[in-house]
Amino acid sequence: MAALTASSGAASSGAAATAVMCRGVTKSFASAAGPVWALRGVDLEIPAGRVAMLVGPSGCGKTTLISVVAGILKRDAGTCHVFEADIEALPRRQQLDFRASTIGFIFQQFHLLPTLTVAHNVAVPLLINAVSRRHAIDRAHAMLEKVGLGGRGDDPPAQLSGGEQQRVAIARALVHAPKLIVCDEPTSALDHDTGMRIMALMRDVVVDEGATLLIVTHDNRIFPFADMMAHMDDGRIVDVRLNGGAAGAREALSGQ
Amino acid sequence: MIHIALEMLFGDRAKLIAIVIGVTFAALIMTQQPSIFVGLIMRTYAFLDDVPMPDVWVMDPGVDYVEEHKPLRETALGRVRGVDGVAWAVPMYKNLQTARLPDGQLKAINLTGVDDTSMIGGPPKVVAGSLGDLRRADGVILDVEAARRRLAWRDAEGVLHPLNIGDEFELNDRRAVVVAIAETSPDFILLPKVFTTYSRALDYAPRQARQLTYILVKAKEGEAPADLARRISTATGLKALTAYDFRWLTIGYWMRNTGIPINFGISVMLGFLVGAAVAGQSFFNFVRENLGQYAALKAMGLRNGVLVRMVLVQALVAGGIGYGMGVGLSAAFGTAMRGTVLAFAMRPELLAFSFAGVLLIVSVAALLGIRQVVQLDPAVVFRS
Repeated sequence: MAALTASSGAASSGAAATAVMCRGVTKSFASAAGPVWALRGVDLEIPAGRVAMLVGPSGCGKTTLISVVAGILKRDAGTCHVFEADIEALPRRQQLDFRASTIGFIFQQFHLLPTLTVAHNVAVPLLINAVSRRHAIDRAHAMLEKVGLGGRGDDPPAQLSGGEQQRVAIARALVHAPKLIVCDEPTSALDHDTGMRIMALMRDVVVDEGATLLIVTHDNRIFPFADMMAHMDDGRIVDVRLNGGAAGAREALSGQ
Repeated sequence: MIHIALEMLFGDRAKLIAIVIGVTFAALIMTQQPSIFVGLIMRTYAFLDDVPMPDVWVMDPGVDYVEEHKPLRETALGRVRGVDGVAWAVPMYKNLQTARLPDGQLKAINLTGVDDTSMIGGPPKVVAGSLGDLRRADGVILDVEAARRRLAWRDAEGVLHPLNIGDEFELNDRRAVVVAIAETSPDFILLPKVFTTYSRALDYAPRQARQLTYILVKAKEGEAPADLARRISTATGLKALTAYDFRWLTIGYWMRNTGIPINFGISVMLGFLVGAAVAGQSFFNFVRENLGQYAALKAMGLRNGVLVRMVLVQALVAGGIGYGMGVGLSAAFGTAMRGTVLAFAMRPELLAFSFAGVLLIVSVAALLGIRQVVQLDPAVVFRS
């Protein structure tokens, strides 16, 4: 099993804190033919403030791993810490509070609430964290400015293009200043140019906010945007590499 | 988060309308049908409401409801007057008779003979003429409906003539002169009502050994009517009931011996089931179609308790709108039917009844939704 550790390359960026630390994580699902192993002992360490990508073929366990990291799925064995907190070990209510305050989500299908305005959608994580409605909406508008959607806050999501909806999802993931953003196939629903622009935006905004970005993707066009990449196969991390990061992102964008 | 729940609900107009229509239909049927039922039942004892003065009604022991006429001997009146606690007791005649109209038509009428002296038992509101006019020779009072419609007659040219004061017709071949017109409460059988004095009613009716239908009794000051009724029963062997007990005896008879409650019960049940099915299915689909959004909210850390509150609020608001519209439509129906033959009494108890029914529908719909949301695995948001 391979692991991306601070010492395996990220050390060059300084003694960053660890955002994600998984050791020997296993996860199986029941089936008629017996347990199906999605994770077979994953070791993973992601320093804070980096853009990390989990790549690999379909069914290799990427989505299961980010679900375990985010505390949405329970692991069978091993340990998994997010900013030194073992989410699973926390009482149920604290698990939810931790997830609500520390982790932001960008879903493949956006999952914006179609009946809410764009600003209200962005404000949802703040409302979950009991921020007052007015304050939440103000902050949502500010975040929309940041992702280039200033002035669209009162529109319904259906009036936005796919790329714009993805920007709303990014704004929603960042609005409550989470330390870790978990992102599932962010460009699968977007054309090439829009995908590149969205990745550049995510990188800029996430780096600007000082957050850590963990991306699951099949899309090799966006690999240059990663600081580090973990390749998964059959429930294991089989390779970990440092990547171009900011420089790669510039190259990828200039090559459009 | 409650406002988000409401925006989700109001944002999905099609589903909201379907839910509201289901609840509205159920609330309408559960309010309107019982209102008609209660209106009909109230008509079975409407006569008692029109004669509010007596505390106790004395009758043959075999009487089971107001319109059941089993006459007593005249001597019963004296025996009742002799019971301790009776302030006064007066006779009343009540039975069906036949009227012959000026055009020769025969019509069944409900003849009431009231006490010759006190006129106790007379119609509650005389709108033309006066109660005292009954003392005039062959005088009778008609209720408004009888005068205008049910006893109206046609001349040779086919022109309809309502009966007015001064007009004559025959009761069992004896002359009757209209001396007054009165308003009365509509009763169940809706026969024309004719009032006259007790002694004249006996003249109109075919001669029988027993002709006294009721004895109306007033209790002395401080005497409990129920106690007096028991005492009269014991002393005379007759049935003596307070107006309240007589009313419930009548209601019980109609409830037990007719299919009316069953028919209305079936209507209400059908309304409930159809409304519950439409509203429940629509709400279930509403929640189901939003499961992706609920899963996303759960993934973002929203607690099940908050989600349950959101679903409850959505169900209650949709149910509340449907209930208001259903009750409003029912009230509009009742208002539109006022003054017609349709019986309709939308009482507060019925609003509580239909509210309970709607609450049950909403609870079931909410439970179906809550079950989906609580069991929802937030990890589904990562499955495309």
